Amino acid sequence: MQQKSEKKATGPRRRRRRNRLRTCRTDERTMAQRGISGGKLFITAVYLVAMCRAVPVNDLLDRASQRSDKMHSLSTLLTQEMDSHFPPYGRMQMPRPADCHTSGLLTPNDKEQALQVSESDLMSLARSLLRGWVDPLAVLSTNAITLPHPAKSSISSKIQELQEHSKSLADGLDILSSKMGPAAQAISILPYTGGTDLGQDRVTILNKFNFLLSCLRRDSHKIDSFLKVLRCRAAKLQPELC
Amino acid sequence: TARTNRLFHDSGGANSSCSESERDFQENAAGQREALGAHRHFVCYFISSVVDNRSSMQPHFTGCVSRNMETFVCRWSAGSFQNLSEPKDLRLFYFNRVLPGASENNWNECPHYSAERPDECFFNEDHTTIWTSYTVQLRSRDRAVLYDEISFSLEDLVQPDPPFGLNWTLLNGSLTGSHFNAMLSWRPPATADVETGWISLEYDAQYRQAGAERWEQAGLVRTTSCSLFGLQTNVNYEVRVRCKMLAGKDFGDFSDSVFIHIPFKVSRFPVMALLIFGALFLVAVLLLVIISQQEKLMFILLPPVPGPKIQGIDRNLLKARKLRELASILTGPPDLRPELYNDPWVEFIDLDIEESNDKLLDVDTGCLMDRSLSSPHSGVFRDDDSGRSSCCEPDLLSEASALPVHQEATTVEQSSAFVAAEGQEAAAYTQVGEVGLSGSLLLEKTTIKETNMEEKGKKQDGVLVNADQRDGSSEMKRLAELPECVAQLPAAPVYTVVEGVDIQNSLLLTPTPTPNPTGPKIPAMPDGYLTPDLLESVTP
Repeated sequence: MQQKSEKKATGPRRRRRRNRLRTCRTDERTMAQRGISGGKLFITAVYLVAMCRAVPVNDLLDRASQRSDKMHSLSTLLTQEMDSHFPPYGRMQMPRPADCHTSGLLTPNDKEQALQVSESDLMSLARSLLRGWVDPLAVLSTNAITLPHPAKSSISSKIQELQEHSKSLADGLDILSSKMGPAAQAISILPYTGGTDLGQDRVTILNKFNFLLSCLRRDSHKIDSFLKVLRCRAAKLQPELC
Repeated sequence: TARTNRLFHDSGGANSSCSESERDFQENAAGQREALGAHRHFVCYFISSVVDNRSSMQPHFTGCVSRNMETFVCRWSAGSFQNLSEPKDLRLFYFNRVLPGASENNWNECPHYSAERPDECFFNEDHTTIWTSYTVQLRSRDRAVLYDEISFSLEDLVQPDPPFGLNWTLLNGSLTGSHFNAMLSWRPPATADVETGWISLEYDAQYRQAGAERWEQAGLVRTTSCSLFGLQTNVNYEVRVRCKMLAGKDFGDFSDSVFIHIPFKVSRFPVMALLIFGALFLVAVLLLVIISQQEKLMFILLPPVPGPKIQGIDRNLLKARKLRELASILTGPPDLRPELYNDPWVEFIDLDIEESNDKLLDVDTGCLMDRSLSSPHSGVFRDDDSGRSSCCEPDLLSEASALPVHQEATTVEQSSAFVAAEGQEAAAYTQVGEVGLSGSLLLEKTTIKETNMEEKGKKQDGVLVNADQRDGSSEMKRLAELPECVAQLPAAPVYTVVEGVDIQNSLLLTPTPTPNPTGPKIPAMPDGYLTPDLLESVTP
């Protein structure tokens, strides 16, 4: 952030900059008074930073990419935890592409296709996926508490953490996309039609839970990959990031 | 539907075969011996086929691996069916919704059976898609028998190649005699496309001492460098690094080991020996100093207590009780002992004896003792200096004696009258020069003119001759008219003998020893000193 000690205002240009700093700080104060949690704080910081135009887009992308990293790690851990204690009935079949509720979204299938997608489209895809998982995550969260699984408390806490990360990442990407043009603003709606109830008997519940987690893992990997490709594309001047 | 029904089939055997295939896959594909714990090598989803009759040595998939998330290979093994070792005895068919030319009923065969090995199928970029589900089957040549079937997605298969270019550098300024720090650096594997961000890698660097069993982890980092701290010199270290995809499941292979060795530089300057020699040298110097300056040191540390010392007297004389010698030394006049003047232990107190004598006469002419002043035992003279700061301050003396002087004014005239009757130029012995230790007096000659009243101090007449004199001299007779003092004086010395005349014409009077009426008869001792054996007889 710029220092306040620029008191040598020799010209009107410098004075304007100082006025801008003051606005940023008043915003800071009002936001702080509301008492925000960690995720909100991140988003607020990103927002303010974007407002003040002190943090470059590269940094914002870097932070978003780190958050999507975290999300993907969490979803991987979730599936592993589910599998470790999965009842020895049999393993569920790999979800077929049509089964995931986000399969309607056209995403690149391999590296060449992914590298050819424009930045705005990549951002739009990531945001659509994130938006599409808000409802299913809520369903997972409510069902995790009563999951017939020995590690349900751990699973439940991880899902809650996932929800927070997802929310904060979505807000951050909203800010980023506002800089990238109208194509980035477009979001495809991916409705979740699975309902709040996962099933009646234990096996069905577990299978559905597992299935949702697999879909989540795939989609979090997609989001992560898109953001990483975006980051490396934007960081042409800083090759050490990629 | 047939497949879904099989979901709930008790697949205990399928479990074991799945885990077995996992183990085989581990050994073949990765060469890793470490236990992965709860982590699965790859997601093992498959539908148990007719398993009851199936033995574990049936041809099965050993695993599929992708190095760069753009291609992958699948491997299988013929198991115990050795008659199927020919290529094309076992065929792989796969299905993927996204790939062209695929349908449920017509599965594609492996796009490329690798030439190096008969049991490997390579899927190149054209046949590889990500985020889609693959299902592969292992069938016999005539496609009649289905040996094995697995499902997977590409992102789950990623095991990157080992990083290359592992190198180490010494951290600046970290090399001490026994330890050093090193910085490891490497490059990401060439096959992984890190520049475009398609794959993000996480590195695991490990090190151990050469010969140790366990590997220590140096760090799980996302950068291509890592620091090692606290390595010992003269020890051979082995380092290696591997990587995995971020949030991926499994690590790739380890790189080749690199050895770190820094020899211990023996300093040419043996510090310990130097320290020891320095200490010994210091000790030697100290001893020398102590021995050479022993007396001075002893004097400083243990100052000698001055013993009883009387100047001019050998202590041995006292011990030998040679009292005659002692007495001769002690009774000698002090002015015959010039060594006393140089002795720092002897302090001379200058007495203005003329003053005190004059004062005495002014108060009561002819009185040798001043009744109003000091005690009878104080002796003939009055020591006005005792207790005062310095004897060189005549003001003190003059202040004390201010009052009596005025009283004595008249008496002086009287006294001087006696002397004046004799003649104008008569010599008067009115001044006591000195009082000896034995009581002998030294009268000094003074002229009449000196008797000036206004001049105080030394110019006062004083005659202190006992009335009880037997020697006939006119002056003495005159002065004999001072009887009244005598009666008051307790045991005043009687001066009747003139021992001699000094160079300066001063008379030396010695007192006659008065008999001591009180007390027991003491045998005549030299000048009244008691020896210890006599003391016993004296004390009651």
